[in-house]
Amino acid sequence: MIETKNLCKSYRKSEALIDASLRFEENKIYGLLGRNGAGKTTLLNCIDGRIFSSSGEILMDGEPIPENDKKLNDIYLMTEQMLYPENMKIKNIFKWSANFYPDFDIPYAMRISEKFGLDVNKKSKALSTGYSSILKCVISLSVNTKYVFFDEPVLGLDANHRDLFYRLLIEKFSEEPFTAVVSTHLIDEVASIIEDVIIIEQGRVLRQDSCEQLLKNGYTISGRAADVDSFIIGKQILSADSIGGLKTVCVMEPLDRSKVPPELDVTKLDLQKLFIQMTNAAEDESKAL
Amino acid sequence: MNINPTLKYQIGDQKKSFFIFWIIMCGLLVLTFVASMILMAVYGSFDSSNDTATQIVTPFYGYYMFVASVCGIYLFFSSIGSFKENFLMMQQNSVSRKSMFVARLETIGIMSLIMTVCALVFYYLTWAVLRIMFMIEGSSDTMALSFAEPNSNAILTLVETLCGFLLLMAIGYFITVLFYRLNKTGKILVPILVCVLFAVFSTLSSIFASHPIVMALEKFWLLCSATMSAQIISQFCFAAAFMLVSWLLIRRAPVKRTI
Repeated sequence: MIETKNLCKSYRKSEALIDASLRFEENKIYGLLGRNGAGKTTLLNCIDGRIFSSSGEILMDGEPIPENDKKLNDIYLMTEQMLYPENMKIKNIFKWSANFYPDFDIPYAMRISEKFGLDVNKKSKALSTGYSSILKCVISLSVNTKYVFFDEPVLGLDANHRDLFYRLLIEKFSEEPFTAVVSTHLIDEVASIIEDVIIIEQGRVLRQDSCEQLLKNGYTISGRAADVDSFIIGKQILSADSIGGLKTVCVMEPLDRSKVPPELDVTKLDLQKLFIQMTNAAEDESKAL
Repeated sequence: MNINPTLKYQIGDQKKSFFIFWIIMCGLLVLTFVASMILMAVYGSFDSSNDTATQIVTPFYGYYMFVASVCGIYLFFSSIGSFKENFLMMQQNSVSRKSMFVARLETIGIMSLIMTVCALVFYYLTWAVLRIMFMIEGSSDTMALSFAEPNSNAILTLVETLCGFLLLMAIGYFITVLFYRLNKTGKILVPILVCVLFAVFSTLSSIFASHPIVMALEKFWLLCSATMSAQIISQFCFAAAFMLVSWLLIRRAPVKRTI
């Protein structure tokens, strides 16, 4: 298990992470969701040791990760940045990855490169944005470490390649379970594959929960304003919209359907809508403070 | 520690440029000999019975130092280009900064040793070809085979060359690490500051030549270069100092955004 405890990262003018405490258990697929600038990439970079946190701890099975080769070797982080040498051919990148990660599967990497249409004789600098992402996806899927962090894995990928990536991820996970953490803005696309969700907003962890639990408690209630108002007393409201005499409210709480008046409409929120409502509510709260 | 693949990578990174360097050196040597042969054809060949052989051999003492200097320049510049790409590659492959630095120390040691041996081999190769071309024999042969200066120790000369290479690589590495850590303003200010300090120091040390601090610095410099052994020790210590400062800069170095 990877654990962060009260992780903080501040730059001169801003706080990128504030008291981020999280857990990544083994053999699960996590969705790391957050708005632009929320702190997702900063969090992943801190875990992998690419940047140093200002305070807090990052542990794997109780041992600190930063500058610990044994623990770092169990992690692979794929980010938007291409850190491989520009003039290195892709097949050589695979070869070197196998040197650094003994379980790297070169034949598998070659096979899925072919599926993606990636030319392994090309140099990394010759790749388009989409194919750079594909290269990183191929390596991430072939590296066979305990923890693989995907930061915007489908950036620049067309719909076909995105679908292929998700299928390969599920296949890989089914054959040899590992911990995958997928950080993405395309929430609808990952909603069906992620088990647990972590939502980060303005450097803070807003929520860490199973996808199922989160979706169980998120719903909208709509109807006449007076009826809605009397039903939502004492409930945790995410947002409220009124048009004329009608009102729609997003609620984040367990719902007993038998207690819902018949004149009210209840709809379950999907993950994307829930995410939008939760982050908007958090933003409004911080502005109010 | 993840040193083996890291060391393999860092040395592998130097291999191509190393071979290209020696191909160029050999090429230049061939060109020089071809030019000499053309001159010989035009002006006649040398005979070891006259003084010309000695005239070729005597300046040849400096030839080893010339070869070593060229190798040193190559090592300095190869060291300057060795940090950023390696660092990013190591970070991508989850190698700690500690392992990367230890592998770098080993790389510097190995490269310096290989270069010392190569410089010596190149020297003897040049001498062998000269012998054949100019039919040089006898006492001139013995003189030229000693690449060390007269009255100095050949082993010490080799060790001094090795330490010189270590120092040049350490300085090159320090410069590249420093520039990686500096921000944009720093990258402009530091070179200016170094030039200004150098100019100021040179001026002040000549104006205040008898000042205790200036005299102490001169004494220190003389102490470091008085004998070959002193030169070896001081070069090694300076190399160690540069690598120590480089480590202090590397240990908290972040991966900077490259896009």
